[in-house]
Amino acid sequence: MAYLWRRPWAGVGVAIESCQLRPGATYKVFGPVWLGCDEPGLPRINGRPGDGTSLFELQARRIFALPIPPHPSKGLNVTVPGGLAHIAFDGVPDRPNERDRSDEGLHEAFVLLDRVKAVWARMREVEMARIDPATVWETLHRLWMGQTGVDDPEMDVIVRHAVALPTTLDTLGRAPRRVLRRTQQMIPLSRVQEVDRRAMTWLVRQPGDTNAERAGGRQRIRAVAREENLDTLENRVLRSYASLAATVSRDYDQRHRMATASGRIRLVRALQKQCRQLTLSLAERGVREAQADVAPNFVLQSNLGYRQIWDAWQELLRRERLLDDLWRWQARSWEEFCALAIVVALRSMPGARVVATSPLAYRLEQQQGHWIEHVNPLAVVYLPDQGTTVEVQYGPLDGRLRGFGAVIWLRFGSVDKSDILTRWAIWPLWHPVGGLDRSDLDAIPGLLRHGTQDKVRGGLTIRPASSLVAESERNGAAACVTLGASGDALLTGLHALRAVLTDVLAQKGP
Amino acid sequence: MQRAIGLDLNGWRDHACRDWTAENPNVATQSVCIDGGTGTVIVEHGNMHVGGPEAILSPIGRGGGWGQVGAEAKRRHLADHWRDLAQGLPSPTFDGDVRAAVLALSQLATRVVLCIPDHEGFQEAAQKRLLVALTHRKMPKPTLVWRSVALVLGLLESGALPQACDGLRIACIVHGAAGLERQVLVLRRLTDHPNRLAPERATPGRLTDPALSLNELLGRAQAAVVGANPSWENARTEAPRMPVNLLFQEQTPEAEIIRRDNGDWVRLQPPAAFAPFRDLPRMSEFSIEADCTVVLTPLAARYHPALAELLLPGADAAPMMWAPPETVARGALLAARRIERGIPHYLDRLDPVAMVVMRRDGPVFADLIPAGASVPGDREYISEPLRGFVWPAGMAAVDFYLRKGTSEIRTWHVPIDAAPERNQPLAVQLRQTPAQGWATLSITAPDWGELRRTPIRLDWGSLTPEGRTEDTILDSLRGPRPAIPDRVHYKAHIGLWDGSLKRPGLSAVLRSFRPGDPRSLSELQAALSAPYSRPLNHPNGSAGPFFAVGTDGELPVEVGTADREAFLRTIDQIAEDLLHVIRTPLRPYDNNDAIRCLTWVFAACPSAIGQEVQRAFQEGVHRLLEPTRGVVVVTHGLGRITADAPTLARLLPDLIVRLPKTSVLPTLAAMLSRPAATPAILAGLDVDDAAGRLNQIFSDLVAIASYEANYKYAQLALAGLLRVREHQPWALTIDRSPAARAVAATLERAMVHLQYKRLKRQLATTAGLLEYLVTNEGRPDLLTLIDTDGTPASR
Repeated sequence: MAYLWRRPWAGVGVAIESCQLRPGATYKVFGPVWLGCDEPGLPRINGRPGDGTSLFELQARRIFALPIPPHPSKGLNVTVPGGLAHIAFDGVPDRPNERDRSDEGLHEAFVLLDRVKAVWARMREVEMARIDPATVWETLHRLWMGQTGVDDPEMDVIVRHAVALPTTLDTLGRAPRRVLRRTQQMIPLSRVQEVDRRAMTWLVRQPGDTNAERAGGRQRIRAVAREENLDTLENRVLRSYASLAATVSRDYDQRHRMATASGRIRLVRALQKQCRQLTLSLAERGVREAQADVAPNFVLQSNLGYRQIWDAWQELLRRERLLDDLWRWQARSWEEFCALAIVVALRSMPGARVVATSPLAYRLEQQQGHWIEHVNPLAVVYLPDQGTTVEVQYGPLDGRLRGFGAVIWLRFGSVDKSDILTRWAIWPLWHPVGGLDRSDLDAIPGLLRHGTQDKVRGGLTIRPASSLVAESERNGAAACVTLGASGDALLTGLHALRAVLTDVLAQKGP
Repeated sequence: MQRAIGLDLNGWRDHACRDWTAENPNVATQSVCIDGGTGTVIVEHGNMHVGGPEAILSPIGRGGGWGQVGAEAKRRHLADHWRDLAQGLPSPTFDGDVRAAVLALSQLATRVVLCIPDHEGFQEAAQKRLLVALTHRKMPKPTLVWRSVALVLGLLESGALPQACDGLRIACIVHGAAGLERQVLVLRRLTDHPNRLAPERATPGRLTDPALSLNELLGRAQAAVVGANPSWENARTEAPRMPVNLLFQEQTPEAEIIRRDNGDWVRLQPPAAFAPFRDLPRMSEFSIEADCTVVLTPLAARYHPALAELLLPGADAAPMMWAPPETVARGALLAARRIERGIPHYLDRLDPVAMVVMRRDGPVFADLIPAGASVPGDREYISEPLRGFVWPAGMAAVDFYLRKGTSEIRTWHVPIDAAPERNQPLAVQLRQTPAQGWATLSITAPDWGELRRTPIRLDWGSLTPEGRTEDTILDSLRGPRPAIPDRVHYKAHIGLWDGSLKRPGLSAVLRSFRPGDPRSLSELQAALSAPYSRPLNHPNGSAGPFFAVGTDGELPVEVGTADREAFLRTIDQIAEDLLHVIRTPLRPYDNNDAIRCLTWVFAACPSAIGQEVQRAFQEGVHRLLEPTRGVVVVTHGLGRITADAPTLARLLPDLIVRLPKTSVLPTLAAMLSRPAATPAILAGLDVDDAAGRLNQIFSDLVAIASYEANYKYAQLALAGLLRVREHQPWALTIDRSPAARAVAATLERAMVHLQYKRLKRQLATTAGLLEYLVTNEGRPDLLTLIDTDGTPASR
């Protein structure tokens, strides 16, 4: 049997959050969903096994996270005993094409895509921060809770291209590599330089005894002509790169249109203009676009300028493919981002001292929305004012707490005392629109009785912010916070998180 | 621009330095130092292999109370790895751990310059091991630099050496895990870059004062922490970082929160007072003269005054300067930038490498690197191809003995598939980059296809150090020296003067001598030229041969003054008369007795007559040659009278060149077999060539089965050539000389003939010659035996 979970805590027996999938039925969902599966083997989604990722096992039932399909409106089909169950993602827009950004009807889709990019940008900042491993968390704190985000937008591959490639683009645009192509043309007899077999065959078939007679009244014969041609593979790659780079830089510009004073924006705008002109210039000169799957020729591999363009093009193509993947796994990326945000918020509390932090190994490629490898606890912070240590654990727990489905746990301890450690569960809940959902505040207190034995004292949901300002609400042992992935929403969201945590500690919530 | 990082990973207090940012890695910025943490550990957990500050702060790196995550096996200390490497015993996890430690502080870098301690423990083997570990496709390109050099470069870069100038001597004291690493560097102005200075390093640094080591101080810090928290000593908790922080953290340590094994938290209080240097001895004498002394220690600055009291070498010592702990990383970065621009970052003296070669006087260690040569640290030293080495014919394997430094000797056994058929000249080339591991030694042979195609390259790592001393090895290679035949020297005997051996005796002949009388001249000639000898079967025993005048021109000591004067007067008279005859063309000259008399006194022959004889021999037209058998008398006489080195040096090459003409054989045989000065002259000549020419004569004689006079003279000449072994012990031995092998082959053919013809005398002398050529032995009186036609000389 297969079950659809609308909330991660459905495992503790809250029936309203879970339903059994039946063949032929359609289930509308508005946010992230989880699939519970009793059958051995991987669930078949859209006819393929293994499209989801296994999170944990709960009483012989394995729970899978489902990806957001590229076209959520079409939904996805899950194979259940007796047929297929259809899951329709209502309210989740299709992955938009970045070239259609001017389409007003796709505004929501672009907002969601911008959030995906913003979360990705935050994770890249983790990679950048690791260059000074002693200050990773200080750097993240400075980047996420400082004011730099407005004036200096995040580093991006297109910014690097804007720094490194203008000279190369200018050089190649002014003198693209050309070849001499042989074509058959009717050429005046006096100017014929070369005839090939085909031209000679044509000639002997013409009436007349001499070449002059065969050349006819216009005195032209078919012969080989050599003419310059720019439509080579390397120039096609150049045009394709210019076209793609113009799109990506326009997207970057629009995402950070407020940061007009930023040097990066100026560079990217200049690159955008240069690439647009180059695209037009090459198109006028008969250069076609290259397919994404072409193999590089000798020039693309060996010529310094063209090789730079080839590498840059591949980088942008990889970025596009990566964005597709991140779109599918944006709910999982959101969880990882929230875990880091919790540590940053804790670190920003007055007097907080880091006791231990996990090494953060940044993956070369995302793995179903995850970039970071770590060990638990992710971080341990000591708050001298409260005399409390706070452990942040990220990842499903073993044992009885598994049913809560929380991926982040806080564990509170006292120094020089032998108190039993208490816990709070944190659920990062992705949603296409975002904003506070007060039903969370109602649901959480009911869950806590299932964690009495393990001293689970409260729960917190973190949802994406729906506006530029984050919100938060607390009701006793339950709290709900919204968090943005960039700009003010990020800053206010982290402040809100910190306030909730401070409140919890101040009221001896743990 | 390369994305370079300078690294100082000492395992106690690490630093990195870079001058670019992650966001714009290709644009140079002001250099920034990265704190690599204190008490570095490397942790391994699943796919994670992490070093640097992340590992130090991680639950895995903290250990103890963190359950399975903090298990002991997942955590290694970097300082322990350096200690093991210096002892030549790196652990199996060394490669991965060092890579993780380097990678932790060199994210996005394309080149790292890593500092290594400057003492004997980090010579080529350790450098090579480290470079092998760091050379990996996922790693930036590694370069090693001495910590002392990086220290001085860092001071130069920061402008902390205001008195920096050419020739400034800087004493470096680096506080290390096992003691104090001492080195003295001299600043030099670079020839190609006159506005830049670089340190010059002459010898490896020294490691001294283990009592002041960081290990010792850490033990004291741990004891202090236990003293301040007595209840903690036996508690089951993670290992606190307080002892490390106590030593290295600049801020005064505050209470530390550590985790119990049961998950509870306890608080450790820092000791109220901590004096790490109490009761420690002062630094041992630092007597090297220097213009300034630089001290680098990872200890917190609050301990510097106490440490300075222990380090002060004396009242007249150079001023002491404390380098900030990140100076070395800064210097390493400067080294990287200099290497990138082709500017030497320091000058080094390569460790001398020597190889055993066989010289004329036996095996010796020959230097492959010029002694005292200073090379830029960023460039590879490539020696000129060293020639003069030979791979002997027929040898399928050769042992090379290599000495590195002054005492470390390793044997390099080089087998080869097919031994060469003849001696193959070798070219040895040595390449070495300072501080970057072993020197590369390659051996090739320009005329030998096998080695020319695939030169032999030395793999130092596979060589086992020799337990034997240098002298023992050389002695073992020397072996017994080939024998050297004694020269022919017949003594003068008084019995030939007073008539007791042969009547009437030279004294009587001199008394009855009448100048101008041909009969007197004939009697004198007979008395001088006739030797006396007794055969072996004589009742009185064997004796002789003796002459009235010895072959060195000496007279018997027993000769009285009157006889001696009469002899000299007579000889002078005869010489004067002969010269008069020679210079007066109208006077008849048809008797050889005068010249015979004068040449049978051997070296006592007047020099004017000697010159005339030489002229007659060389010009071929002379009055001395006019009488019957004049040519024979001159030819033989020249051989007898020539004994002084200048004349030999002038005549011998000329005579050898005239071979294989047999007319010069008697003269050559006498000159090679008799004078004491001959070996020294031969040492300057090509004896192999002379032997080859003699071999031609032997071949001709064997071909016509002629074993008479010319065979004897050829034997004498060949045996005389062997006297060169006084200066070239292994000359004309068949394993080294192709000419000797050829002669031996010819003589063996002759032996067959001689046995067939039963020519015992020639058989004995030929066998004697072969023995000299083929073995290291031979009868010393071989020359006399040949000269006397088989009669051994008496002693």
